Amino acid sequence: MYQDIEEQVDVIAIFEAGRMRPIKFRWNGRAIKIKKVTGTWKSDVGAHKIRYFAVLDSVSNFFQLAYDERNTVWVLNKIWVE
Amino acid sequence: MGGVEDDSVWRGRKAIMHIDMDAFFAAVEQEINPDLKGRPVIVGGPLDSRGVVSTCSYEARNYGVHSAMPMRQAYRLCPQAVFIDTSGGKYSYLSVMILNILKNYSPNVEPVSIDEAFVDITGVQERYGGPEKLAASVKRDIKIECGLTASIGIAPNRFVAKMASSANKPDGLVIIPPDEVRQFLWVQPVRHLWGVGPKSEEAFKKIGIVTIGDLAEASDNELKKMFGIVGLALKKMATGEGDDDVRPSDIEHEAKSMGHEHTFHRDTNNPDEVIGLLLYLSDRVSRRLRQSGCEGKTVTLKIRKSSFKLTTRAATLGEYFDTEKAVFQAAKTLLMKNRFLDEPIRLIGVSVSNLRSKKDLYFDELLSGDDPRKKSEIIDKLLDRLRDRHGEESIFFAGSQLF
Repeated sequence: MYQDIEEQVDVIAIFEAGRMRPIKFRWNGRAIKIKKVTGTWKSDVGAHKIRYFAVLDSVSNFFQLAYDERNTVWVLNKIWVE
Repeated sequence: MGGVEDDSVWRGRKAIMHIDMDAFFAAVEQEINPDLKGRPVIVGGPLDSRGVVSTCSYEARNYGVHSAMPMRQAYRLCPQAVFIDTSGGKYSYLSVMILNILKNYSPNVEPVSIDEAFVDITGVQERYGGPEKLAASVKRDIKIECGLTASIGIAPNRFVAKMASSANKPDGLVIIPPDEVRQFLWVQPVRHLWGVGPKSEEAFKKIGIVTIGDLAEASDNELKKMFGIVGLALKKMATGEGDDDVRPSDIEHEAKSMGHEHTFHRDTNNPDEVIGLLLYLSDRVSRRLRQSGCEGKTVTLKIRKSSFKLTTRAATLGEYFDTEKAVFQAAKTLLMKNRFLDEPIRLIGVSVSNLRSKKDLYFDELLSGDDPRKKSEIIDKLLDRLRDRHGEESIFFAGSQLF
């Protein structure tokens, strides 16, 4: 099931070919390396955008990250737990 | 059917393609979280509300779950499923991606809903080596770019194309050439026709009409007597005739109306709650009008009562409007005048129709108006809009200098 987290996290992202891609983030004191971005989408909040990333780590744990463009913060929205 | 050897049968004939994404919302969830693949996934409103299932994966369908079923009932049928709340951004983003893929093939793309579209591929298919190759290419592009599967139907008109796309789901491709339309339609049960629900199916059965072929051969008089003009329209469909126009509609001001509606968590006729929601809906609608540069003349209020009875009332104002105040006042007057607060309400909808584009209006006024001050105001507004969209230096007065 999905578990809502909604915590601000530190993220390392790279910008390539006009696209932003998170590669690593820190949550609960551990660094999680992103192996694959499985989905990206965005939503408009007033005049600014929030960009979402569905990502998997090396053991295929699922995380949903959101980048808030106006406040330049990353938030871990939810994780998948069995 | 399904594979056409001789593509010359399409020469000079309309070819309409209908794309229907397979269990779209659930497939998107399974694509972004591979843990969900092979598991029943149900996407819809929250479990504790009166929400309904938007869609479910094919694994959930095996348990009898289907779209539009109350979430609670879906939970009873398949408690082990993964239940996911709908979140618009994710799905509309992918929907736009899919529409853009379709526009690579033909400029005539008409989105019908978030996961469905018609494409006019008349003539275009020849460039791809026939409709089958074109459809296979579309399916491949959608799979590579979005990771999703689509079912495609191709036929000489819209409704046959739509029936074809649903004939072999998921990941299907069914092509009905013009000379095979009757063969395809006539063996199918009459309920497969657009507009035939369980009640009309039962009524048809009483007069011996079970298949679409039976309907095509039924007497006009009998159909008219029992079903009125609807009966004749259905017979026309049964013979394979139908609308073959695809209307590209990605420009919002071409919409006939704009509206929003909301279902209360519990039925109410508390004036504060009802009028509060009316205010919210009026604000949303008027904002959409302004965003798309439109204004309208008619406000329609839609009310569904506890008894599920649906009533709509409309008022046409003397002048065009795009403000929340105008929409709200008209909607509130309709609410009070029709005594809708006398019984509990389940759903409220507010829409504005009789639309016109303000963009065209600017030019009309510019060309026809005599007031120089107003002309100057309009020119300033147009310049602002051009600069907002294309940058500060995109346009400037002939006599001005760039610094």
